[in-house]
Amino acid sequence: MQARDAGTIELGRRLEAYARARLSPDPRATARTRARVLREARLSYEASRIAVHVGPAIAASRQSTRRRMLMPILAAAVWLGIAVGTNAAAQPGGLLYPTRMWVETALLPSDPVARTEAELDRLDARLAEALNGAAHGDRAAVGAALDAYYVIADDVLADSANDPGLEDRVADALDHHVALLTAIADRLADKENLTASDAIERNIQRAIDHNAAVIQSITTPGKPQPDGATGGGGAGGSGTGASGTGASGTDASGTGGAGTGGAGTGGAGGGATSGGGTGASGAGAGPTGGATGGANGGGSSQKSPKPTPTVQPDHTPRGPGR
Amino acid sequence: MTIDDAAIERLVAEARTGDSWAFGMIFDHYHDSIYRFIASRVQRPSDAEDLTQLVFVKALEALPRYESRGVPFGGWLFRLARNAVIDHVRTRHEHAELDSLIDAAHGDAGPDEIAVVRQELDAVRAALAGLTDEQKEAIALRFFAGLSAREAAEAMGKQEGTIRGLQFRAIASMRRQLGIDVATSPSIDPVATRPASATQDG
Repeated sequence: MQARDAGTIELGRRLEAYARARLSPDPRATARTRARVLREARLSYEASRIAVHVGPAIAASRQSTRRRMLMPILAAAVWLGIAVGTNAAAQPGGLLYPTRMWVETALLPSDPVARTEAELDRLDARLAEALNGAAHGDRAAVGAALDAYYVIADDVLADSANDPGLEDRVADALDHHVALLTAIADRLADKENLTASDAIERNIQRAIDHNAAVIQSITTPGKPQPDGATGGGGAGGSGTGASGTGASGTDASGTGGAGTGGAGTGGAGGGATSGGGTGASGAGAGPTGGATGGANGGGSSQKSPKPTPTVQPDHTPRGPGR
Repeated sequence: MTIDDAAIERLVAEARTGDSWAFGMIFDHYHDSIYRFIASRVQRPSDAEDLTQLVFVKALEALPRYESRGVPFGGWLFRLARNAVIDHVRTRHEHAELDSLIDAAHGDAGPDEIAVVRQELDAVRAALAGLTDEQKEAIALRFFAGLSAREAAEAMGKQEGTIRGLQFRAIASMRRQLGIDVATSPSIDPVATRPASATQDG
């Protein structure tokens, strides 16, 4: 530290005098400033304390903000879950499957052609479901899909009535389905007699029978067949009728016999006879039998009224496998 | 009021935890020197009051971020004051000049004595006006505010040696202006001439 000389001390004195005279604060102003600053300090400290207490609430509020932002995502997830669950429930064997069928039916177009086409698509879909269920060994799915199939088949039969083109279209589709179902049934039959396979096979066999009956009903007697005029179809009746287990062999009325009679008549008469009352069995039992006979013996130009689709789905209680 | 550095640090620590009494003590310790420094840099006493209040409010807000780390609290506080003055001068387009419109009371002095004192004060003011801004600032911090050279260096953001150099040249200039014994070498230690609020020697 350097020594202080008199001149510097004098300068210091003058500076101090200057500061005291012209740079000193007014005591009242100082008091005012102090009061304001300390009030600010108290408010600031109070705010800090409040922040400490309110902090968790603010954090919770932020969480709830995040929660609010997540709500649409959660809602979407819930809806997605509902959609997926509904879709699962609407699969064959699911709780909502009958509802789905009902909705599909309700949404069918009113135009006969479009309606028939839509019904055929539905038949394809049901068949696909049944085959898929069979592939997975899901007896419930197979049963539900085929039950729906029967209903649709009956509906499409009714809807296509009086329209030969549509009826042929339906018959072709059902023929194709029968071929598919037969192939599946054969494959299942090759397997060992597992309970599940048996049950599925029984279901499919029922569908085959049902389809055959529907197809048979389409080819009703009196219905102008493309080859009916030749009258040469008698032979067709004999095959099925002989065994007495015609297309509707499951029918207790033994309508299969009608097929046989029809065959004979048709063959002999060369088409002179039409109508279903000519069965050899005289049973006249089933319109099915009569129809078969008439059709095979057809050729008559006389068109009898088309019978109401009479094929009844086989409501025989299913086997234990279901 | 004289408080040593350790006591200041304790008060600062307490003020940081929300002790308004401790902050009041800090205010009392630094207010006059802050005011003097500001008043020496602005023209109106009212501005000096407002800026002094602003400095303490800013200090209150910045206190949680203050870390000692060997930096004197006074230096930190005067840096806030210096920045406030710079902002004020910049926004008001005001030239920082040592000025005061009203002299403090002169006790029982008569008119002649008052006139002599006023003449002497005007001479000091003129001598200060002849300094560079940095020299004025160094004089204000060292003599008016009573800071140590280290605190002044912290406040001005310069090295301590730089502050001593500024002060040396300022004193020499003023002595020449005021006609004070220019033959002798000026001391750079203002300890003997520091105001009563000075707490440390540089």
